Formats: sequence, structure tokens, C-alpha cells
Amino acid sequence: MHAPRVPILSSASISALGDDPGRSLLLKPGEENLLPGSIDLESIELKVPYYGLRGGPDKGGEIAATLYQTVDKALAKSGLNRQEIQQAGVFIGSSSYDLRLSETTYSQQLKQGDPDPLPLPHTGYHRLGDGLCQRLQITADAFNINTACTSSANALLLAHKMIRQGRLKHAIVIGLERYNETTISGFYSLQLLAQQRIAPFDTARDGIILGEACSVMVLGPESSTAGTYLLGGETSLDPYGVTTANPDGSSIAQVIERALQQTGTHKTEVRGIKAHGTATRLNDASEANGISKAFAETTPPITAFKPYVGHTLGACGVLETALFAEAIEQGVIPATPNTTTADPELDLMPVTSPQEAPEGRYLLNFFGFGGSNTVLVMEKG
Amino acid sequence: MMQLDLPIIAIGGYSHRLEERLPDLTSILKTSPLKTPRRADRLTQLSLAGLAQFPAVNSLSQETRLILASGDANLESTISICEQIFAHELSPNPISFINSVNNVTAFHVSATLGIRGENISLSRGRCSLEAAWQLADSLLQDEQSPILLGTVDEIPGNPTQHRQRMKLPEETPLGEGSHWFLCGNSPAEETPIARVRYCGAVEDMDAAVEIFEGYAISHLLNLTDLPPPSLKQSTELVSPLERSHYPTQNAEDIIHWLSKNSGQQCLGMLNRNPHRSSLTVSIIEGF
Repeated sequence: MHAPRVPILSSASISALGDDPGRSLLLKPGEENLLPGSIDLESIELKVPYYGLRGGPDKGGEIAATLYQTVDKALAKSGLNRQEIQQAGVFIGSSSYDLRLSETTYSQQLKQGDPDPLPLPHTGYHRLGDGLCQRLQITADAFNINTACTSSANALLLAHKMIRQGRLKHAIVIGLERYNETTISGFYSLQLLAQQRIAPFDTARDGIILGEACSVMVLGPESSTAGTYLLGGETSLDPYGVTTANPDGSSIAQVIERALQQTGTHKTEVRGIKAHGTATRLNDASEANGISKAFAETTPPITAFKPYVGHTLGACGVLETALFAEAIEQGVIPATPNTTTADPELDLMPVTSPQEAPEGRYLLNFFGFGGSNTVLVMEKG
Repeated sequence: MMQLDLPIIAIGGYSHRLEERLPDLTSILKTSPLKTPRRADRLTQLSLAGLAQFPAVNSLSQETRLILASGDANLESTISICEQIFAHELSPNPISFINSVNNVTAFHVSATLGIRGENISLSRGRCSLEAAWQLADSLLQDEQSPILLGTVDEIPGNPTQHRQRMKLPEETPLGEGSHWFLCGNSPAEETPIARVRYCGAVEDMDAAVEIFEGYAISHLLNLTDLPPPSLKQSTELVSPLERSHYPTQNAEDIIHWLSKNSGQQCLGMLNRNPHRSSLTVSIIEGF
């Protein structure tokens, strides 16, 4: 079956790895810059490990600048001319958008003893997209996708679909998540945060470490020339629960099978899988069981990127796709740092040393709250 | 992304304007056949209150997909968490935090209705309905299973504070509700209630006029602060049901127009978000 090949024309990212993350991914596990920093929340007494951007937490209002800089960088690398940019579609995936701006404004009001402090003074999710489209003189409005941790993976999937259908020639797809205390303290209250390190699928894994990132990918019209391509994928609802996929792996196996089917990919063609790998007990079990069910005979090499950048929530779709694309272009499936001891209850162990990444197809898993399961298929060649 | 062919086969919804205090949705939902999930927040309750007024709610197939659009999304849950964290310096209540996640309402809607198709929440301020139409048209091109397309917006628990938040005069009415469109081809191949023929952004009013005249619209709903355009054809201006702060009120206005106008009519809608210079034009044919 012919899978429409939508080329990744360019990408740019800023994360805890800096602004050249592709090169950093090829570092050996255990190198100093792979360890998270830690952060003291201003609002509540809490210190947690965190994969932050250099320069520290957003003091408010910095998110638009981060977005514009990263978009400019990706567009400069894409070769799109002014007219093509103005006609491009914009897709943003985030779980918090500019929530930090509301946090800092409200916090300031409280500190100053304002008699009527306003929690959440800025509402809605559209302001960053509106500002970006206005700045780039893009006539159309942005699609702001809100599906928790699969937000920007779904943004990629929808952009791919609209390009394939001829509705758009180019798409600017953005994954965005900046530091905010609502999210960090929320995950803390759910007891999902790890103590020191994020170790996907390891027997001693103890949870997530959050991170922040802005990652932008420019997609172009279908092409048959050599490069790295998005072939499509699948998103589906897992009705099992709000915060976790079905632990028996059935819903994850199903979305993997459907992504393979949608893109005409045979299991034997899959050269590697980028796992979602949050390192929580339950989510890793769901994912491991799902992969094992879908690839019952031979499991391709599996890697996970959250030990490099943390869990960047709504941004992880574009960020981890950009990282994986860059790594496989360089011929490498990166190792999974921190994971050293297989969990005897899971029939899965990610690669602990870099593996060769041949031409072929690769899967990328993304799962989120709200029963949102998304699998993308990418091709090198 | 402009010319669409999106059939609408069922419509319905629920809304109210704020008078003194917010109505208790629990009592409204008690008479509904839909079971409200435990610990559901107001946004989920509003969604279900709208679905209780949606005639197709009991005949949705399991493969039905869901697109839920909201201008301001989970206001009350997010406000509540911000107060817990910043004013009271406490870790948030886990349930409040989960309810503030931006696709949890859509999850509860799908779970309550027993529909299992893909589930996307999205937002575009006052043009959220238009974003959902564009997305639905794209999804239907690839796969025929129907799409339940909804809009929902809530008034948070302190309406006076919300007017301050939105910088609205004290007397400004606030609105909330949810409205629903079942999109797809009718299994019985009946004529749909309506078709969305066009939905896209244009640079200026001249471009909007060209589109309205191309479709020979019979009615015009102007939701912008611009004066309505002069068109060559005779066009009846449609007023919004009530001018209030309600980001996705246009869904209610369209359902009202479709319910009121029988026979072949064509509605043009003009909309935009503040701080955007471009305009969003939609064309809806009613049958």
C-alpha cells in the first residue's frame, strides 16, 4: 500500500538539551548534561527535579518570545518563501499554552496585597497562535490542539492529513510546554514524580520528571526524494481511565496495529520504536504489554527520550519526533539512559547502547490523560 | 481549507444567560437519561446538559468520533487550582487537577455516550466552532464514521470576578452552554439538515463580500465589531440570540437559525478573534 510521504522540511527545538538537541542525543548515557536540574517552586514549598531551559523558569511573558524564536529558526531552515509561509497552516499542541503568564500576574497581585486578585487573568488557548499568525501575516487561524500529552503528536497527525488531502501545501507544527507551577504541583499531587531520575521500563523506575520545550517542525507537500518523512498514524480513545491506558496493553496494541494498517506498514518493516516511556509503574506496564502484543514475534529495538529531556507533556509529540528524526538521519537509534535493569514483569527492555538506524519505517508512541493514544509512523529513505 | 462539504444530520443543545446566580446543573441533569460521571466538573455537566437536548444522543454508533471545541475550556477547575496553589500555598486537589486537563471533558463525554472513535479537543477562541468544522471536514474525507461535533463554554463560579477578568462592564450578560452537531452522511441517506459549504479566513471585508456573493447568501450573521457589508443580493441580517460574553455562542445562533428557517436558505457568518486582522467566513446551507 502506498503511504503518502509528507517530508519533514526542517525542525528547530529548544529544550533541556539546549537548541541543538540532535547532536546532544548522541552523547553516551550518563554524561553530565543528561541529568536533570532541580527547581524550587515559588508558590508552595516544594523542590523537585526538573528538565528546564537554560536561564531558569519563565518569569512571565517569555513564552511568546520562545515560540517566535523557535519558529523563525525552523522557517529559516525550511527554505519556504514569504508567500508559502503566509499560506501555511499552523498547528499548536500544548497542555498549558501561556498559563504561566496568568500564574505570574496573579502571584504578583497577591504579593502586592491587591484587594481583588484575579486568578487566571488570561483565559483561552488561542492567544499564542493568534499572535504568531498575525506576526507572520498568515491569514488562516491556528489549530490549537488540546489532547494533553498527545497534543502535538495529534497536531502532526492532523497537519499530515491536511497536506495529504491537498488542503494545505505546508504546515508549521508546534509543540510547546513551558514551566508552570500548576502542572508541576498537579503531578506532584498525583504522586507521579520521580525522586531523582527517569528510567523508562527499568525495574526500579519511580515516575516522571517534567520538562519544558518548544519544538517546531515544518512539513511540506508529498515527495518521493530521499529524506525523512511522516507517513501518518492513528489516534484513538482508550476508555479504560482518565489517567492511564488499559494495563493489559490491549488499547495500545490496537492503536499500534491501526497505525501500521493506515500507513500500509508490515510489522517486519519496522526498524525501531520510540516509546512514550514515562517511567511510571502503570503507564510503562501498559505500553510494554501493548508493544509485546502488537509485536508478538519479534520486537524491534526500542528507545525512550524522556531521560534526555524530561516529560515535556503537550510538547513531546513534536520534540521527540524531531529528536528521533535527527537521530535516525544520522544513522543512530539512541540509547535509553538510566535504564539498566529489566523489569521481570515486563516483556520489554529498551536499548541501553546506541543501535544502527537503517533505512525503513519507525514508530513513535504518545499516550496521554483523557484516554488519548497516538502512534505516528516515520520513514527514513 | 476553505471549501467544505460537511453534512449536518442532527442538532441540539442547552444554554442559559446568567441572571443572578449560576443554575444548579445537577438538578437539570437529574432528568436526563445520561449518567453524569462521578466528580465531573461543570464543563462536563454542561456538555451533558446539551447532549440531553440532542435528539440523536441515543442512536450514536460506537465508532462515532468526537470533536469538542471550546473558547475558554476548563475555567472553573483551573481557577480553583490556581487559588489553591498561589493564594493558599497548597498542593492542588488531585481531582481538580485532573479535571483541569484540557481533554478530560471530551473523555467523559465519550465514556458516557459509549462512543469509541477518535477524540479531539481543540480551541480557537471565538472561532472555535469554525476550527472544529474544518477539522471535521478533513476527518470525514478519509473515513465515513460519523462525527459528534460539540462546543462548550462555562461561566466560572464567581461571575462578578469573571466580568473583571474579561474586562467587561458590570451589567454584561454572561452565557454558557453546549451545542451539538452530528456530522456525516445519514445511514438512511436522508437529506441532511444543513451543509457547511465554506469555512476559512480571508484578509479583509472585500474578500468576504466576494465569497458571500458567490454563494448568494439569504441571511448574514455578523459576529464581528465591523459594520455588516453591503451585498448585491437581498440579505436578511440575523441578530445573535443575545449579545453576551459566551465564546462559542455562534453554535447556538446557528442552531437557532436552522431551527427557525425551513426550506433552502443560505447563511453567511462573519467572525474573528480580537487582535486578528483577518476575518473568518462560513457558509451554511440549510435544507
